[in-house]
Amino acid sequence: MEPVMNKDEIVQVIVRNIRENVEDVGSAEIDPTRSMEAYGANSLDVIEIVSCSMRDLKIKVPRTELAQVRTVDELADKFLQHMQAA
Amino acid sequence: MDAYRYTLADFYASDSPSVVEPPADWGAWLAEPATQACMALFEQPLLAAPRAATRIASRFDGTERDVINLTSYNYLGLATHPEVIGAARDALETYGLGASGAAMLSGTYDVHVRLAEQLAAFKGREACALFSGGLMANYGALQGMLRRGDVLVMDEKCHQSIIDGGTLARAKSVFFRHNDPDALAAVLEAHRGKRVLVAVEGVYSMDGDLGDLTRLAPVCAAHGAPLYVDEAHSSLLFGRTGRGIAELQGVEDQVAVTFGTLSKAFGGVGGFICSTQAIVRYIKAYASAYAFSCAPSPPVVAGCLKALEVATRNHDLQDRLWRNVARMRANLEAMQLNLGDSASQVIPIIIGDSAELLFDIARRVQARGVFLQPVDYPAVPADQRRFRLSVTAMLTDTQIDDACNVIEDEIAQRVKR
Repeated sequence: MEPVMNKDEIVQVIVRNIRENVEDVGSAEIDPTRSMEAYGANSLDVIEIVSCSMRDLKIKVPRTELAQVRTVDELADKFLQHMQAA
Repeated sequence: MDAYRYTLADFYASDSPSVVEPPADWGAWLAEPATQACMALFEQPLLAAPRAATRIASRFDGTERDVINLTSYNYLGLATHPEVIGAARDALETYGLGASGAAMLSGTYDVHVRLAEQLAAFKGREACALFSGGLMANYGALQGMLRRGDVLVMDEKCHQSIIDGGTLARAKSVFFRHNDPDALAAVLEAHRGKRVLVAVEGVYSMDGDLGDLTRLAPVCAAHGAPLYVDEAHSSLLFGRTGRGIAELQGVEDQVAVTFGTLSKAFGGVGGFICSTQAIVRYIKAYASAYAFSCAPSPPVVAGCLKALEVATRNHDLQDRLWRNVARMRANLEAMQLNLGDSASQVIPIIIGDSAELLFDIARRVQARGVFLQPVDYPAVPADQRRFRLSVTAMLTDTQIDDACNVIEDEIAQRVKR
C-alpha cells in the first residue's frame, strides 16, 4: 500500500494544476487560503483543476462533497480526508 | 459503491485508455440497481401529444399510464394548436419533410424568409437569423461574433448553450454572481480595453426567476459592453406585446442582440437571433451552426409562422397561462413548499440535498399520474435538488387541483421547509 501523502504534497499537486489550467495566473504566487476564483479560475476551470488533481492523486471524491470548496486549502483537506478514510 | 453519492458530474473526467470506451467506474455506477432506478425516470417515451393530459410508457415500472403533464415547454399549447397543426400539414404537402440544403445554398424557402422577417418585426429589430436548434442558435451566434482574445461575461446561471458559444469561439469565459450588478461591474472593470459581450437570460430555466435587466443593462451601458439576452422561456409570454423580459422591464433599447427559441412557447423546434442587419449578416457568414447545417424543416417553420400569428392576435392564451400560474402558485404556496424565486411559468419545487428522496418522490408522483420530472446535480446545486414544474395554458382548474393533491400527499408531506 502506498503511503498517504501529506497535505503540503497535495497542495503542490493542486497548485500545479491551477497553473496548467488558468491562463491568467501566470507566475503569481498562489496563496492556498484565497479562493481559486481570485486567481482568475472560472467554474469550468475549477472542474478541470479538481479532475486533474484527482487523476494525479489517484482518488475519486464525489463532486457533491466538493461543492462548497473555494480554496486550495479546503480542497486539499477534502482530498486528505478521503485518502485517510480509504 | 454507494450509488447515491455519485452523479453525472463524477464521470466526465475519464481515465479510460481509449476515447471510445467510457471509464470503467461509469459502467459500474450505471449497473447499480439504485442508479438504474433513477435513470429509468429519464427518456420515458410519451405515447401522445404534449397536451395537458397525455400518455406515457413509464420505464420505472413498465406500465403505460395517462398523466397530467407538468413537464412541457408547450406553454401556450401551440405545439398542439389546430391552426398550427393545419399550417404545418399544408407545408408538409407543399415542401416535403426536410429543407434538403443549407440556408445559403438550397435550404432557404419562402416560409423561412417570411418567418425571419416576421420575427424581426415582432422583436422590433432590423433582421433575424433562423437556426435549426435553439442550442445551435445560442452557440452559433456567440461563436459567429466572438473571437479569441474577446471576453464572454455570463450570469452564473446562464444555459449551457451560452457557455458552449464562448468555448467554441475560444473567447475567455467569465461568470458573475447571479443578477448582481456590482459583480458585473467588477468583472467589466477587470477587463477594460478588451472586446466584451455580456450574456444574460430573461427567464432562468431551472429557477424560473427573471433576469434583473433593469439593473444590469445600465452597468453594461456604463462600460460600453453590448448586452445579449436569451429570451428562450420568455418570448411570446412576457411584455405588452410578448417580446419578452426586456420589453417587460423597459430596456429593449439597451439590448444589442436578442435570442429566442422556437421550441418553447412557439411549439416547434429551432432558434433565432434578432439584431441589426449588419451583425445578423455577419453572424450568418461565420456561425458554423448556421452556415454548415441543414436549414430548419419547412413544415416546422410554417407551423411556427402560424404560432406567431395565433399568439400575437390577442392575449387569450397568455391570459389563460397566467391565470393557471396564479392558481398553481396559490396551491403550492399553501403547502409551504420552497419555490425559490420563481416569477414565471417555470416553478421549481426545491427538495434539498437528498438524491434518494428526490427520485423516490418522483416515482411515487408519476405512479399516481402526475408527470413531474426531477432535476439532479450538476444541473442544479447539490443542496437544491428539485422538481421543475412548468405550467401551461392548456391545464384545466381540475387538472391543476388534482395534480396539487398528489404533490401535497407525496411531496409536501415528506419535505419540511
